Amino acid sequence: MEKYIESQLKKFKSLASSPEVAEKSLYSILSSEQKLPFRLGFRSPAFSGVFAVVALFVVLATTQFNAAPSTEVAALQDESLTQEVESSEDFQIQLEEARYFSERADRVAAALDQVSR
Amino acid sequence: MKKIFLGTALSLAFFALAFQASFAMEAVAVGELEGLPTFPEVTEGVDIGNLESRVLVLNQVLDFTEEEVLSLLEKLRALKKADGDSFLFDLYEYFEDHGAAALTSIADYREDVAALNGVDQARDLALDIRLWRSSTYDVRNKMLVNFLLLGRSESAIAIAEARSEKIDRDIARLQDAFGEAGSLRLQTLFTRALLEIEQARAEQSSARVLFRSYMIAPEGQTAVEASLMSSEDEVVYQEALTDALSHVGQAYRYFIEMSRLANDLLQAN
Repeated sequence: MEKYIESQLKKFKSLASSPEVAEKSLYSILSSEQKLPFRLGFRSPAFSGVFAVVALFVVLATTQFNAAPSTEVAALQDESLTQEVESSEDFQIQLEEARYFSERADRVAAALDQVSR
Repeated sequence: MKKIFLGTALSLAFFALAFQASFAMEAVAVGELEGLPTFPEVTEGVDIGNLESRVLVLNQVLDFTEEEVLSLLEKLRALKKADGDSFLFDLYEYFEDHGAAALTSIADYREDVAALNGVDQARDLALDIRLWRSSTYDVRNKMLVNFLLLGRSESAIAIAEARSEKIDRDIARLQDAFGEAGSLRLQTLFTRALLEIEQARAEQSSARVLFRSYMIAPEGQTAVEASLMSSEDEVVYQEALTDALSHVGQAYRYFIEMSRLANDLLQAN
């Protein structure tokens, strides 16, 4: 039984398509229409999309790299520096409020004058 | 391809702008005044008419005043919490008492309004409230508003000073990494920033002296009491604090310039 299987396997080893069939198959494969889900040409929308994503990633990464705090000069780069700048907006608003304080008081006084007449 | 390059260029420009904008201090939009209530303007010479409409205005005044007091007290609490060293002294208690007293007066006036009987009584009550506001409430409130500004400026300057100390240490530590020329450039910017903070401190000190001169102990009393700050002095006072704020802002512009330069130097060296 073993000898039989061995001889069959030897036959398989020597099996090959005739040169004409091989050439024909290759030709038919190459000439058939390629039905890929998208085309990867330079002008194709898919290429533009991929390019845009990569470009965005590069831009983001570069911006983040420049802005991100490096541990080396912490005092100049940590986020609190920006936060401290932003917190002064609040001060500016309070200054504006204070300037309107007298105006508000005058309006109330005028209303009370009206009631007392 | 042109479209792609245009798109990429636009993206770059957008991110560059966004990055710059996050540090743009000039572009602070004040817009609507948040926090404090506003009161509608009355038309001069209009007869207000019957008791009902007088009661309506009186209630409006009391609502507005209460809202104003509560809002200012909240700001006072926030300032007190942030002011760890209690630099502004003994004055918190004075202004807290002013707020509490104002709320009590408002509650009393509300009862009076509810018990009103006739237009004449409404007239008298309006005069009463008017007098209370002009002689007590407005005087102390005006000082409270200015006190809050003084406290806010103090914390802004103190934070900038603390920041400058940290930066000073970092520059000294990384002198070798920056190189001689780089260190010199950083040091120049740092000196300018320090000068701005010093100027902010000077402006704030002059405002503080002016403020203090209106918080005095009346003759024979030990407790402090606010007196009415003149309009001219108030302008001078608030301008000094505005200048202090703008010097602090300028100091941060130098810090941010230093930050960019330090990045470039570390990448180059």
